[in-house]
Amino acid sequence: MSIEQLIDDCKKKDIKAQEQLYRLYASKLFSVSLKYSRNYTEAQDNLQDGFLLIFEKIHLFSFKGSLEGWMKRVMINHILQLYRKETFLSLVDEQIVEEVEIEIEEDVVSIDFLMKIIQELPDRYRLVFNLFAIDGYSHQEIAELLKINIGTSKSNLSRARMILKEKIERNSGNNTVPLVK
Amino acid sequence: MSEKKNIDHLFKDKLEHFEVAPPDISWKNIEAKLNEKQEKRRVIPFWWKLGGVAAIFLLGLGLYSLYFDTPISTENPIVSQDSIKNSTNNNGNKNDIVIHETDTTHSDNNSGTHPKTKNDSDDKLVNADPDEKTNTAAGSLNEKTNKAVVTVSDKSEKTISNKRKTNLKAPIQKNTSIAENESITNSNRNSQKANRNKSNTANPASLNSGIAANEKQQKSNTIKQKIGSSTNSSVAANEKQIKNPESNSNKNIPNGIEKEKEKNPIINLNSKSDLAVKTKESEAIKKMDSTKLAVVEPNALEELQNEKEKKLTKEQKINRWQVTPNVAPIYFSSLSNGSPLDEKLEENQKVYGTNFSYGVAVNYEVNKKYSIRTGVHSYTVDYDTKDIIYYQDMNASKMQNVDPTSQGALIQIEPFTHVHNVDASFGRMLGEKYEGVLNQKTSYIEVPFEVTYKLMSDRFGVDLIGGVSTMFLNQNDVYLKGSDFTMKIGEASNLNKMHFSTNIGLGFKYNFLKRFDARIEPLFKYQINTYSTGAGNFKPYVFGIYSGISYRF
Repeated sequence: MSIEQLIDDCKKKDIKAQEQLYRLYASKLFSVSLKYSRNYTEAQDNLQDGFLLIFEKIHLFSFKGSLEGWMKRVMINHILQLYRKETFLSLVDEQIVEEVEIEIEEDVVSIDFLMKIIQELPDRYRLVFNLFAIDGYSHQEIAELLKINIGTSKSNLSRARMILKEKIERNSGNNTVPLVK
Repeated sequence: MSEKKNIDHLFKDKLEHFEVAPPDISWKNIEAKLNEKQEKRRVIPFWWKLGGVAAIFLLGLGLYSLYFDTPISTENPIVSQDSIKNSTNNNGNKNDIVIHETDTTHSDNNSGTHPKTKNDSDDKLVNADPDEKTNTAAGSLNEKTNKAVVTVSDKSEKTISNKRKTNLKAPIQKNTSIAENESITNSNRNSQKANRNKSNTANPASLNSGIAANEKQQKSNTIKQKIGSSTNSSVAANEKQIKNPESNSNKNIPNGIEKEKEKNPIINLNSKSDLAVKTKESEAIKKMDSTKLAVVEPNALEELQNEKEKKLTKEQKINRWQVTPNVAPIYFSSLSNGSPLDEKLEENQKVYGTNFSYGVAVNYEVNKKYSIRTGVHSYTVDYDTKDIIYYQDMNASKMQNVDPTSQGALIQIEPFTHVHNVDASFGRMLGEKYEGVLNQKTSYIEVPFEVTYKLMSDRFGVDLIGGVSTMFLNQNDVYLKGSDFTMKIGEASNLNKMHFSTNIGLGFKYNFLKRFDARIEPLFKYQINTYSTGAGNFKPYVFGIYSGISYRF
């Protein structure tokens, strides 16, 4: 069955098609959900709700761009919306460090570890860092998505980088034995 | 190997295309919620539509009652204020308080005699307000005076209320006079609106003067009495006077309202007579006595009159029920070409049969415009699915949504999609295969709940009808029709035991005898939730022209 056919069936709320769509994209979207959520459990909840939203909104998908990209955006927006609801402490703008270089032995850093420290970031740092660094959103877009101003977005990103860097360095310092990938 | 790396790139490289399989439970949770939603989705339209109908119905009811209630409730307070006005004007502030009291007590008496009329109690409330103000404003000094006034006025009131009743008779006897009364109240209203503020503000002022003039309590008492007596005399004698100023506009007033209005003009009369009273202060006591004597008999008569009126109004309201046995040709069809039997048959031509619906409807007239109705109808619908071929096959695959009978299980049915390629006529043998028709027949017991709104009602009337029906599945058969036989091959497995329809239509009636109407109602009934699964894009509806004779009782 072609992807178009699958989408059409999903639009008709055919549960078999929905399951197939889920099977195709669950892994990709779960990794997105993991990055944007605070922990595994939340990521799981967000994945479920995100998929329900996708099934609900799939009639809006108009075959412009890839389905995966669209689903990812729906998922991200869903999660952003969740955390946007929660009140942030208003963070003072601080000095923005544009580039953070880090010296690491790449092999030592496991994906699990990276995921863990991303999840440990304060909500907004995490969201901004994910949006900017991993998913390629501009500060302008992030500001609109999170209803913050661009300066705040930049400073959040900067803070997130510093925290991540610190954690990675401390980790590689503490563990002389490389983590098994 | 150590390497300088941009931290963004590090994360991007590692995490951008990273995939993690979610736990198995995730899909199960999603599936559960999807199913939940789907069920909700099916039910919601029905409730929304029902809700819509109910809302419109309630709204209409509300508007209706508002339209009729408001004049009643507003009139009395106005009247009482009017009398206050008059009293303030005429009495020169001293006696205001006293006259007030008489008004309230009047209404007390009225409520005693007519416990059913709410408006009397309204009267009390309205009157009581200014009194309370006066009490608080005047303080303890006035309390005594007020009490004294009340006690005195109690006596006089009885006479006054009695007098009123006697006065009432005259207007009641003539409908025209009632109408006139209405206009009186109207004119009063206008003037009262203007004067409300004045009268309100006037009260405290009058209190003060009242306090100052404690001595005059007794005088005021006598004034009350005079008022009562003078009203009687003046009202009875001066019916014509009343008519003259107020005979401008006559509306047809519903019965319930008439009663209320009758009282009001009388009260007005009282206030008018108030004017006259003051001038006659000296003669008052004598009149009181005479009025007391005169009062008793008219009171009894008046009660009789009231009872009669009540009976009349009751009788008019009684004919709210209507029973209509009816019959209707039913045209069953679908808004789209689908097949609830098997999706393979979706493209096949469907031919819908015309059937009949029989039943009885009960109609209850809620008010002049709206009726609600229900009933029981039985109807059957059927349709043919054309262009199928059938043949015997030990391993026949069953149709998607048909539970075959033992015979049916051995018959393979397929759409005959290549008719144009084969020179085959109906029923002709194609090798071992035959061409035929599938007939699905279902019958239902229908229980409608509908609201009708009268667009026009006279001897000939037009109603707008909207509502919902609940259908209970009664018969469910699928037949195979060949050239010379019809056999049952099974029953549909996807028909819900109960489903709904939303109904809309027009009703035409002709009142050919006093209690009998001939009715004809084209109704469109869109079916909801007919099929549990695999309706195959089949969106059935029923169009029926219901006709019957209704009997009103």
